[in-house]
Amino acid sequence: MRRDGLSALVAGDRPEVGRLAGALERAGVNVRRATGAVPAEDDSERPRDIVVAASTDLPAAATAPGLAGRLWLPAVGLPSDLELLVAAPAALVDAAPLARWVLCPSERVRGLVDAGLAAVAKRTVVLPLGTEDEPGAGDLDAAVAALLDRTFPATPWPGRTRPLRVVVAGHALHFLDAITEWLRGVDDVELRIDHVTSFARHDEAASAAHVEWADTVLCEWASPVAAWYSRHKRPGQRLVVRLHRAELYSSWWHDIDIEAVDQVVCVSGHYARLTRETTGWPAEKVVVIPNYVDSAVLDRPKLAGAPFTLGMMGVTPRRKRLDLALDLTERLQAADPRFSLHVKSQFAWDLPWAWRDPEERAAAEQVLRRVRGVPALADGVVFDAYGPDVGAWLRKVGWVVSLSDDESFHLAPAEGMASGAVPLIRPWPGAETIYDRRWIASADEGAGLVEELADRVLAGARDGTWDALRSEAQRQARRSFDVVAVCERFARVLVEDLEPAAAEFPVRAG
Amino acid sequence: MDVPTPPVLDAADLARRLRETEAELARVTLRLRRLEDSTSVQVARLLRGVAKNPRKGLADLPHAAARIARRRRGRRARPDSSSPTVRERGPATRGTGTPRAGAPAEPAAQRLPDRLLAASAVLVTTRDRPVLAVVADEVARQRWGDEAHVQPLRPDDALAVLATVLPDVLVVDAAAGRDGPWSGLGTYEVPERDRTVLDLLRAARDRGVPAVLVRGSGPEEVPMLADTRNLFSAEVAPDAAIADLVAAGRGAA
Repeated sequence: MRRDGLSALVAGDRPEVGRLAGALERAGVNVRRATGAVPAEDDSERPRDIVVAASTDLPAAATAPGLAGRLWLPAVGLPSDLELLVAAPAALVDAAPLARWVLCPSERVRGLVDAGLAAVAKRTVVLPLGTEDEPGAGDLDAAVAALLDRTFPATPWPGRTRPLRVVVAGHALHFLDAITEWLRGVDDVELRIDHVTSFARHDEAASAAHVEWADTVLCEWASPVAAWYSRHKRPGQRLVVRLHRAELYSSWWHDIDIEAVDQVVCVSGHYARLTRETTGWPAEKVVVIPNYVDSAVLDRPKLAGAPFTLGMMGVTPRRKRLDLALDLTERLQAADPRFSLHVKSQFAWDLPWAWRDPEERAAAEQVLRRVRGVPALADGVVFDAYGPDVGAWLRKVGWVVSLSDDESFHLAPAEGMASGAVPLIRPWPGAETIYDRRWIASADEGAGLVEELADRVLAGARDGTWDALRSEAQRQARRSFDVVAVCERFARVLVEDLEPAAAEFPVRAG
Repeated sequence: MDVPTPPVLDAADLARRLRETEAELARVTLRLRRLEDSTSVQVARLLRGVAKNPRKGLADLPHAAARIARRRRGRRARPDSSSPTVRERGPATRGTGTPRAGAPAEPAAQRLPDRLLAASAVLVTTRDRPVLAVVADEVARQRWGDEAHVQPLRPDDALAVLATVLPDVLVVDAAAGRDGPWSGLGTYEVPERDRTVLDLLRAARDRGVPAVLVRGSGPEEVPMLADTRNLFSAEVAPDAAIADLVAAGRGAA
C-alpha cells in the first residue's frame, strides 16, 4: 500500500489529535504539526494528503471546499452522550461534509454521530484515541495503518509514464461512489466526472472534451449517453460500460456500438449470461464485477440480541416479499418470543411509481394490517427509519434475509455479511452466481421455505453455531464484495480485458 | 375478573379517514395543477380561444404558441422541473441509502406511524380504569393489565399512539430494552430507540401527561435513562404495584 510520500497536516492541541499524529508518523506519513487551528496558508508545495483537525479547530476560513475529501475529523471534545443524542454540535455539523473520515473514539459515539449526521454515516470509523496509558496504543497504530491502506491504495498500474486519465460518465453515480473515491486516492490516476443531465440527455460539447482528454471512459449506465460515447470515442481509447438490469429489459442498449466497447460489466454471472443471450454481444466482452460493500463502515460489534434478530432492507416493491419474512418471524416467535424482525425500507407511499400501482398499495396496506393484527408480529416486527445509517442499524441484526422473487444482485445480504450477520437467501434466479450456496435455501416457496430457514435460525441461535456461521459469511464478504477487492477489479478493467464471466462467482472458493 | 374488551377507537378511525382524504385531495390537486400546466392543455385552450374568436385568436396565435414553446423548453431544461417520464426515469435504486430527490407520493410527514395506527385493530378507549401508555415488555404489560388499561407503545408508531390515546400516565420501563421491540433502549447503543423515548417525554409534557420511570437494576445498564431522570415526573421501583405507579404519576401531575 502507498505510504511513502504521504503528507499530513495535524492541527490542534488536543491529546487525541496528538496521539493520532504519532500513529501517522509511525506509519510512515510525513506529518507537520500545527498548534491551534488549521492555518489558513499551507506552506507545502502540494496539498497535504491528510488534514487532521477537530471540528473546534477548524475556523470558518479553513472550513473551505479545499479541505473536502482530505479532512480526517476526530470526533473529540464532544458534549455529553445525551446532548449528542439530542443534536450533533454545530461545529461538527459544519465540518462533517468535508470529512473523508470521521474518527470516533468509541462505537457508542460512532452510533450517535451516525444518528445525528446522516450525511457521514458511511464515513465514520472507530479509532482507539483513548489515553496513552490504556492498553490499546498498539491497536491505534494497527487501526491507523489499516485506514491508510484503505484510503491510499497502491498504484494498480506501476510503470506508467504518466497518470491514467479516467472519465466516469452517467446521470446517477451513487453505485460508483466508493469506486470514484478510491480512484481519487490512487496516485497515478487523474479522474474527471461527466455528470450528465439525465439518463438520455447530456452536454455533447462537454462529453466531446472528455473524449479528447481521457485514456479510459467508464459509462455507469448502458444508456443513450453510453451509445454516444461508443460512436464518438477516439481510436484506441478504452470504453467500459456498466449494464444494469433495467437497461437489459429496455431498448436503450440497442444504440450502443458494441464494436467500440471494450468491456461490458454486469454484477453477476446470471446477468452476464442474460446479457449475452439478450443482446447477442460477444461473450468475451461481457464480464462480471460484483457490487461492493464497505467493511470499514459495516463491520461493527454486534449487540447482545443479534442472534435473535432478523433484518430486512428494502421491502418495496412487493416482489421483495415482506410477507415471507413475516411468515418466518411468526414461525420463530412461536418457538422463542425473543425473535424479532427489523425492517429498514421505504414504503409504497414514499415512492410515486409504487403508489401509482394499486397492487403495490394494497400489498403495503395489507402487510401493515397483518403486522398490527397478529399479536406475535405486533411485538415482533419493528419498522426502523429509512436512511444511510445501515452500519449502525446492522449492529442489532444477526440474520439478514433476502426473500425476493427476483433480484439482479441484492446488496442487502452482502451488507449483512460484511457486518457479521448470517444471510438467509431464497433461491431467486441467479443467487447462486453471487452468493455461496450454503446460504441459499433449497425450497423456493411456501411452508417448506419458511421451515427450512426457521430451522437454520433456531439451530444457529440455540446451538451457538451462529458465531461460526457469521465469521464465515464475513470472511466471504471481505474477499468477494469488499470495496477494496472490487476496486482492484475495476482498476484492472480500466486498462485491460477481464476474463469472461464464469458460471458462478468464485465466492465459494476456499 | 372479566375485563371488558376495549371497543375500536372511532375517533382514530375517523382521523385516519380524514388524513387519507386530505392526502388524496392533495394528490389530486397536484395532479390537476400539473395537468393545467401541461403543454397539451395550454395548446387546447389556445385553440379554443381561436375557435371562439377567430379574428383576435388568429392574430394572437403566433405569440401565444411561441410562449407555450418557450415554457416547454424551459421546463425540459430544468433538471428538477417535473417528474421524469417512465422512459427517461432510468432504473430505480435500491431501498436503503440516501433518499432520492423528488416529490413524495403522499404529502403527510408521518406516513408510516399514521398507517400503522390505522392498521391497529384495537386501542384503549374506555376510562373506567387508569389508562397507561407503556414502553415495556409483554410480561410487565400483563402484570399491569389486571388493574389498568395498558396501551403498548412500539417504536415505529409510539408518538402517534400516544397522541391518539392520551393516557393518564406514560410509563417507561427501564427493563424494556433487554429484548423485544425496544431492545437496546436506554443504552445509547441504539440511538433511534432513545430518541423515540425523548420524543415521547416531550410529547407527554406538552399534553400534560405525567411520565413515570420504572427503575431498572442499575443506572450503568441504562445510562441514557439515568441521564434523563429529571425529565420524568416520578420514579417507581421495578416491583411497584399499579396503584403506586398511578399514584406516582398523578401525584406528580
